[in-house]
This record gives sequence, structure tokens and C-alpha cells, in this order.
Amino acid sequence: MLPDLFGGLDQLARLLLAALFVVISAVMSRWQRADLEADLLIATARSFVQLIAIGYVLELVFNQDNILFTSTILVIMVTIAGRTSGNRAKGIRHASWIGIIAIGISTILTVGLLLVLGVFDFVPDDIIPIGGMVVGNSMSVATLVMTRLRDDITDQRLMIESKLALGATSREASLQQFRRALRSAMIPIIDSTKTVGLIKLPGAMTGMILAGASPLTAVRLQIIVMYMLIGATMFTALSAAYLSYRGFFNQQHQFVTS
Amino acid sequence: MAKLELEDVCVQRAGKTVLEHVTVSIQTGETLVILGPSGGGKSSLLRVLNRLDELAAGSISLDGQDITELPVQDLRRRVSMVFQKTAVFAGSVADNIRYGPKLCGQQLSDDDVLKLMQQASLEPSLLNADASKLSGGQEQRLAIARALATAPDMLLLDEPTSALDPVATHDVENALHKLRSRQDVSLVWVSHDVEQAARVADRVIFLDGGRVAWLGPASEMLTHPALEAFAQGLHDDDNQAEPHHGEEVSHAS
Repeated sequence: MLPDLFGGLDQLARLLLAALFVVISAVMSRWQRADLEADLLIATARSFVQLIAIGYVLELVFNQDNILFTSTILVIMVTIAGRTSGNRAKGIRHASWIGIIAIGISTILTVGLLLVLGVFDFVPDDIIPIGGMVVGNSMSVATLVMTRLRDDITDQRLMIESKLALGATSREASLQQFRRALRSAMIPIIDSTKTVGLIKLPGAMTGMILAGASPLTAVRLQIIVMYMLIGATMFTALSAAYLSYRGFFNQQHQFVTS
Repeated sequence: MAKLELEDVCVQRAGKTVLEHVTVSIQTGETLVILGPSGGGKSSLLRVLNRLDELAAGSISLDGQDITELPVQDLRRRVSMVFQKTAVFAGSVADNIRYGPKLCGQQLSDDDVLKLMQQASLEPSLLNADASKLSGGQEQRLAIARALATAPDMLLLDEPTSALDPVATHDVENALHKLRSRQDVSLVWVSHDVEQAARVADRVIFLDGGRVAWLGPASEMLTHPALEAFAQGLHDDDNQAEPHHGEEVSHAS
């Protein structure tokens, strides 16, 4: 049964051999007394169970090829990503909702645009992996925007209040912090786009080449994915920044908390 | 000509009452010093005048109009505030001074900026200097020039010299002294320094435990026991959270 799951004894052996790297890492951790062995074991076991489970779910979804089913999976992905992002951004009002809305807007706009332009079809084989990339990258950006904005607005409260006291609106007074949060969230993806192919081969492209696709076919898809991710992360960053900064102020352009 | 009237003002912060039943009116051209121990409610009073915080009860009116009925940005331009510590904005001294007028679409010329710098006793050579390179005293005078740029009726000063050395304090006081001679702007000046109050105030309001313990002309302030005790450093700061009931409270304005 187990060898069947992994496509035969040969594949199972390869998987077990790959696990040797975790064992080596655990030995090195023990040697250096880094105390990471338990974490490594938990992470390895979790990733194994999660991936096997998601493999079954995807198999089921792909076989069903049902719009409702596929959409539900996307909604679940967005919700989990939004909540994960929100949990990192404690101190921002309604952070989880902001995360869900920002990632949701970005997913709808990006995936929707690609569908309208006919780049992909609304079939689970296309939508789930593409949606996963959009949601995953958007989650990182939403977290970066919210935490940076929270830290800057909190640290620079005197600066912001000095501007409010001169008649600035809360938007005008926190514009510098707003822009800085946007930049800090977008710079990693812009930098990775600049150096793509020079430093490392991106995930989607690597996966396709490993699965037997020609490098040129893989490159074509990767270019689409990169541009899509730039759009997706910008939508997320803007929505998250806009929704987050408002939570610090009331209608009278006063700080909500003292 | 602008008149600010506070009627039975109460303020709470984080659920705690920091100001109780404060009634006073501030006339055009006068310098009112708010004196009192730390935690007595002085800064809280300034913050509600600029509407950075809301009242828990009572009312404040500017020229007879309740300030909650005015657009908050208009109020803040008319009743401008200088904080205890200056947050210098990015850019030059001129950029900082132009900030307020620029918000309402007004671009100050170099001459306008130089006039404001002169009013705040800032050297003209600093016009295009990087504002982040100024000394503490220069920063405070920049904050004064920046606040004056919106042509306010009233300037709220939250301990503008408390973080400065004696020389810088002297420079800032001089700059503000020049403003006192103008009849079109009132100064509401928070201080914990009785000698400073005696030098600069027309009237003094002594806040203790969030209540007005005394209000009257600066020349008479040391005749009052609470102020005399405060001046001599006899005030027990540990008891400041408790309002001093039963002390003479003047609501004259």
C-alpha cells in the first residue's frame, strides 16, 4: 500500500534517501548544541503529513474538475493565509480581516485577469497551483506591510502627531510611514525579479524542468508567473497598507489609542 | 481677534480622569502659562485645545463656536501646537516651515519663510540647511516657525524649553517674547518652572491633580500658598494624583 502511494518501491527509497538530509541536519544540530533536533523532527513530520494530505485533496479536486470545488479551495487558502498574516500583525486593528481582504482582492484581481486574458483556464490543474503562488506571495507581503506600518507608526507617533497638529489629515500625516511600508514589502520581490535566472532558478520553472518540460516552455510559464506575482503583491501591499493605517486613527484625525 | 473659552472641561485618558471641571477663557494677545507638577493635566489640556484628544465632558469654543463644529484641520491651523520635543520633518528648514501651508495648497516664498524664521529667531543662513542637523534649541525655534506658518490665532507650547540647556532656553524664550508683543496671537504655554512663568506670563493657571488650583495674574501668583509651596519645591509629587480639594479656585477669566 505504502509503496503504491509513492509510485513504487523505487520512489519510496528516493524519498527515504532525501530524509537523510534531515537526519544529517539533526546530527549537526546536536553536535553544535543548537537544540534544533525536536523542531527539525516536528517540521519534517508535519510537512510529510501535510503534503500527503494535500496530495490526496488535490487529486480529488483535480478529478472532480468542479468550479465550486476549486473556488472553495481558493477561499480556504486565502482565509488561512489572511489569518496567518494577521496573527503576525498584532497591534493592527482587525489584522486577520485585513489580511484576508488584501490577499482576497489580490487573488481575485490577478487570477481573474489571467482568466479573462485567456492565459489560463478555470480548471483545477491551472487554478490551484497558480492561486497557491499568488496567495503564498501575497501572504508574505501582507505580513511585511502590516508589521512595518505598525512599527513605524508606533515609533514615529510624535512625528505623525506634529503633522496632525499643523492641520494634516491622518493620511497626509502618515504618508511617509505608508510609503516606507509599501517599499519594504515590494523590494524583495522586485529584487528577486531583477536577478531571476542569475542567482537561482525560480520554483515553477524548476518544477517544470524536473517534470520533463523543455527549458523554453518552463521559461515562458515562469515569465507569466513573475509578472503575475508582481501585480499580486502590489495589489496586496496597497490594500493591506490602506486598510491598516486607517485603524490607527478616527474620523477626527486623532490617534485611536493613547 | 480670537477668544478661546473652556467651560467645565473634563478629560480622561486610558479610563483615568486627568482633568476635572476646568473653566477658563483665553484672550487674544495674552500669554497664559499653565503651571503645575508632572501629571497635573497640563499637557492634556493643550492636547484637547488642538483637538488631538476629545473631551469627556464640558465644551471648548473658539470665537463663540464649539470647536467640535469646526473642521478639525481648520481648528488645528488656527490653534497651532509646539510639542515638548520637536519631531523634525525630512528635508530642509524651509521644507519644514512650508509643510503646514502646503497642506492647504499655499506655497510660501523664500521671503515668507525668512520672515517666519525671523519671528522665531532662526538665523536666515539656515534657510536651506538640513533640518535634521539643527541643535536642540534651533529645532524648537524651527517648530515655532513651523507652527506660525499657518498664521494661527493661538500658539500652544508644551514645555518648549524643558529639554534645553540654559542658553537654548534663553534663545527660545526670546523668540517667544517677540511674539508676545504681537497683539494678534495668544500663547498658551505649559511650564513647570515658576520663574519662567513669572518672566513670560500675563496670567497663570495652576493645575494640580487635574483641577484648577489657582488662576490669576502672574504678578500675584506667589501670594498663593499652593504656588508658593510649588515654587519652593515643597510640593509632594507622590500625592499629585489626588485632587487638592478645598483650595481656593478662581474661575475668573
